[in-house]
Amino acid sequence: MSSQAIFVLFNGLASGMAFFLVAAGLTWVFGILKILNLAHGAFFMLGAYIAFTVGGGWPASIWSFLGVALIAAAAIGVLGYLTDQLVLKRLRDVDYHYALIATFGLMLFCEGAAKFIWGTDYQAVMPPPEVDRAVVVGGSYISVYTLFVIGIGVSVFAALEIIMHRTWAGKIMRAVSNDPWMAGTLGINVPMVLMVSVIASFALAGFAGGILVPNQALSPHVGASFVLYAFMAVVIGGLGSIRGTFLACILLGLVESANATFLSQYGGIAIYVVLAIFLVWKPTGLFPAQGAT
Amino acid sequence: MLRVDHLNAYYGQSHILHDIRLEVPSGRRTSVLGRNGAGKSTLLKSITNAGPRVEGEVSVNGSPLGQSAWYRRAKSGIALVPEDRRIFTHITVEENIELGRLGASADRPAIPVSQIYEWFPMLGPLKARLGGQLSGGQQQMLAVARAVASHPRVLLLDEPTEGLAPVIVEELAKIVAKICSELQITLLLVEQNIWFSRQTTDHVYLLGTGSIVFSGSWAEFDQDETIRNRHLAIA
Repeated sequence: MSSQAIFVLFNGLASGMAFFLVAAGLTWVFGILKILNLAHGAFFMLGAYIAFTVGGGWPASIWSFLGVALIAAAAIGVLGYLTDQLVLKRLRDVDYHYALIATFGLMLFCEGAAKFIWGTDYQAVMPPPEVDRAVVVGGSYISVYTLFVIGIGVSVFAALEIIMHRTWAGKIMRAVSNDPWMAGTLGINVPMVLMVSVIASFALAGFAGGILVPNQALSPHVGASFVLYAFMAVVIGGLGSIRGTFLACILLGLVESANATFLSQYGGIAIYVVLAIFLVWKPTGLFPAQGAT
Repeated sequence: MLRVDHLNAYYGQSHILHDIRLEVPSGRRTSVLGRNGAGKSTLLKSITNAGPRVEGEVSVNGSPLGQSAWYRRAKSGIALVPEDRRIFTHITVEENIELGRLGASADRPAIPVSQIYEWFPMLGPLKARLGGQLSGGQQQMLAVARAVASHPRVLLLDEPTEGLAPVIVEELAKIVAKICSELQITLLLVEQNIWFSRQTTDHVYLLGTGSIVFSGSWAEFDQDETIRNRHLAIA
């Protein structure tokens, strides 16, 4: 394999895993609540700002960096609880258009709040020192931070797979996703499951913000590009399917990376071509989900 | 004992059930018969507070359930098998049964899965199969098994024989009667299959359009030809 192909591969996988970290919570909450949360990217952005505020621009070590990302996850999880109580809970039994409008309004509110608190100047966060270097793989220089993001993305996917398919909590969540009325009739506390799912989804957005903030120009709009790709991945993977979203993120990451390397004069076009092909070929996605799977 | 008192149910502006009063003594088994659209399924959903807007009172063993949410009623000992079965299609037979066990409580310990397979021998060999891969008869057995797994005080069955082959109906009748007798379950069965109702219950209510028009034993039911003709159109 040529060094250019290796670069495309690693760069694509890293982009894909970055998309997945953002998309995981998005598809989870859609699978369970059937709500497309347009504010998801805004909470990713708030997670990144919280990580910046708590950890500063120069993380001391990879462990403190991970700790700060978990603090961001917890903080956004708390915001998820408040958002659920104030907004999402009221949208459970109404037409989905209301949910789109409400979450769009929430996104604008979050961006306004971020401008108010942190201003509009760009901020920067460096990767932790252990991963702020490059290694040579097959003649190509690969950033260790790239490998770190790939590792975190795969770990989050594995954790979600285990939770959803190997634990009782996951089986209960899938039952609620599949048929909330019947799940409640069997005695499952459906409102509680929905609330926990929202908190988990928001916490994932916050964690993604904490992990992906290095190498980004941190601004109130930092979530926009990530969440756009995340939405594409959720559509290609199958709305509500974590497995499908994971595969779609890898595909989009590789396509984007190949596009940037081999067709740089047509920046970003390939990813839209792929999306268009999937919308025609498989409009319900790779894994048309009956719920969160 | 299941007691329903002055129960009225509404879907939107439509008044579906009118002042329903019925009692099923502890451990006894009762049928509710009626034509399509009489409100039979609405009655069961009203008892579980899982659909229509409900006024009136439902109590189990003297404890009123008030306005408790539908997902809390399983913990009060009420298990419902809906007309459309609503098996979780993406998980296995055994996982469906395990989910049913979640409705148990400290004073009603969940039924062991091995016991469920003894009562429902058809399900044992299928335990690793996905719910969506079962036939209609197998799904109905699983729906009843899942409800029974919570060790309910009150079992509500909504037309369990609908669309089933006669041999499965016969087997289901035996199983339901046996389990209700062993666990002393109070059964309220909504049916159009008179044979199944006779096999599994000893008291019958007849639901006209949203109102109870008859209550009595099967012998009394058999004697009242007028009411049978008017509300069931059977000979």
